[in-house]
Amino acid sequence: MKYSKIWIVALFVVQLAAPGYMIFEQQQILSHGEVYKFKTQPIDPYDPFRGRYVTLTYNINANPIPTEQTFQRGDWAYALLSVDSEGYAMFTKLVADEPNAGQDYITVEVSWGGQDRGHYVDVPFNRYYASEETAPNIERAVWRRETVDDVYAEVSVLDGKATLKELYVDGLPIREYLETQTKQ
Amino acid sequence: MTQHNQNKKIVTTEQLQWLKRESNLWQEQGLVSNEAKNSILDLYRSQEDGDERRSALSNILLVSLGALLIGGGIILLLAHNWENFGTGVRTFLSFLPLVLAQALCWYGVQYQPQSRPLRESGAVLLFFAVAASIALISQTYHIYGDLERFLVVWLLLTLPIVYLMRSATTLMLISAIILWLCCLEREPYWLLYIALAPYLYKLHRQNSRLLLHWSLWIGLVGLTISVVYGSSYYASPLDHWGIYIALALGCAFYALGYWWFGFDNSKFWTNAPTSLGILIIGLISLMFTWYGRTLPSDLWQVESPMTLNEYAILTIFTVSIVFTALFITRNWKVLSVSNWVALSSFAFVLLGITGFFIHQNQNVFVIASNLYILTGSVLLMFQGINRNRLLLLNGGLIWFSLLVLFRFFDSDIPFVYKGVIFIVIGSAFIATNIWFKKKHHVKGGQS
Repeated sequence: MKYSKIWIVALFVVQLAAPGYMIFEQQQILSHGEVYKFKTQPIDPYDPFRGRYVTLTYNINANPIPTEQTFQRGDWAYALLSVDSEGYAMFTKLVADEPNAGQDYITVEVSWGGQDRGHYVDVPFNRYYASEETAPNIERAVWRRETVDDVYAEVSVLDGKATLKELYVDGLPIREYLETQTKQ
Repeated sequence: MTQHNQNKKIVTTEQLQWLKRESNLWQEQGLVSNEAKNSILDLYRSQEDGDERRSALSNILLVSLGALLIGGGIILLLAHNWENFGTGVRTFLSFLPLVLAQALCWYGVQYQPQSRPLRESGAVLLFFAVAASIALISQTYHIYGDLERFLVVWLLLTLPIVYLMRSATTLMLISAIILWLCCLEREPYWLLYIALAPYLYKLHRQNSRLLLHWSLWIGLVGLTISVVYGSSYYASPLDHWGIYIALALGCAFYALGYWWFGFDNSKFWTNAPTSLGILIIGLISLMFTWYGRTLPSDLWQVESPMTLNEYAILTIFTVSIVFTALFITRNWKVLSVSNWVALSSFAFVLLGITGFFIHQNQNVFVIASNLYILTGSVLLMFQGINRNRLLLLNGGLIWFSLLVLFRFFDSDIPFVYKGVIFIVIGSAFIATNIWFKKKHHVKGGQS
């Protein structure tokens, strides 16, 4: 019995450590990471456990990323990051080996494509959680507009990991933007 | 509840007390030894014992259901996304249910180790609290991760609860999560059932049949869905093999049920492997009666690569074939007609595999399967009538009716042929019935 109690305590520690590590990792990226702006379009689906969220479809994903290497769908790769003339993030190249220090990159799952035409990738920060009231409003606020040029997500990047900081519309954080819309 | 306990004769409390008093006297008089007295007393148990056990079981059931609802409620409350709370409050909230559930579990283990309701409810709450905690942190930090990853993390963090807290309710919940994963992704998540196998074996040893059957049904359905879903889809290397794999699995389940629970267990619910095996065999053999099926192609020649999923499915395919073949060779003397009807479908698996090496005309399969169901279903109906087994009779009737229905709507056969075949078979049925009645009548007259 004593032996199994030790295992129970060990299980409790692992169960507490898992969410604890999740928080620690996210805080590290948010406080020490480099911040990039990703142009995006949100739509509003649903998760039975984590509630409402908006799926962010990024403009950066519209075209395949050039690569000189061969990847299979489902492989993990490193997408090198840079900034375009307007200040938005862009992927310059997809590589298999971890880049050197000084080069920002994101670890991504490789999707369709090939060595000749480049690969599409799954961007690992495509969910923005919001309440049942806010999530549909975000979608409506953006889709109702004729242009979505100034909708972007602020993403913090550190050692290949990326965390979504905030979603911006017209230069305002999304919740502030929604407030200004309701006042009008 | 042990096997031994179940076999005890139930007597009233007064009778048991009388027997105790008397047996003490016998021992004092030197008529019986202490061991013999205990063995005699061990043959009986009072009615109240049984009632108490039943009441304890319903107590556990109610408490577990309560904990299940509370756990689900916590998840829904957190899923609402209380976005007005700051990160600090949300972090505190994400740990709160987890710590409380852990405290409840610890209290149960440390101070009330005999209280099963407390242990079960603590374990169920802990199961949900883990999910609530991960979900809230994912929500707060917008962490990427689809439902599959979420379920896997949840499963791995809660699987040990089954063993450490000895919680049967958590076993059911975990089985259900694995089933969900099997339906969600084309990955061999059914392998996770292996982690539950030791506990299922323990339930089998303890004769805790209710939970064992529930878990077996969930596990086997999950395995079947996962294997079919993971092999039969466009561009799958196993696409053309799927139907044979499913049938081999059905035959192996059928054999497994009889091997495990014995040939006497003929109840549908309490022999999950055999019952599910029968359903698979019935359905797949009906699929063989249609044209358009393709024989297996070369696995390594298709565009999609072979992955762990494909290798795992091929392994279970091979194991199923070997197990069924062994079962048939070792039991062929004791197999009944209905056993043979079900197990002869195994020939289609072998025919399918040989079809990969030797090209066969599709007519062979279609004609053989139609004849198989026609003969098999009629044999089952006869068996049902002779042995007075309604389940067999109904099973045969349903199988036969589905075959008739399928052929009626079959556009591959010209109307004239279909008409003639229907009339011939219909007349044969009526003729058999008349012959059977006459024979019965003659027998009755002679006796």
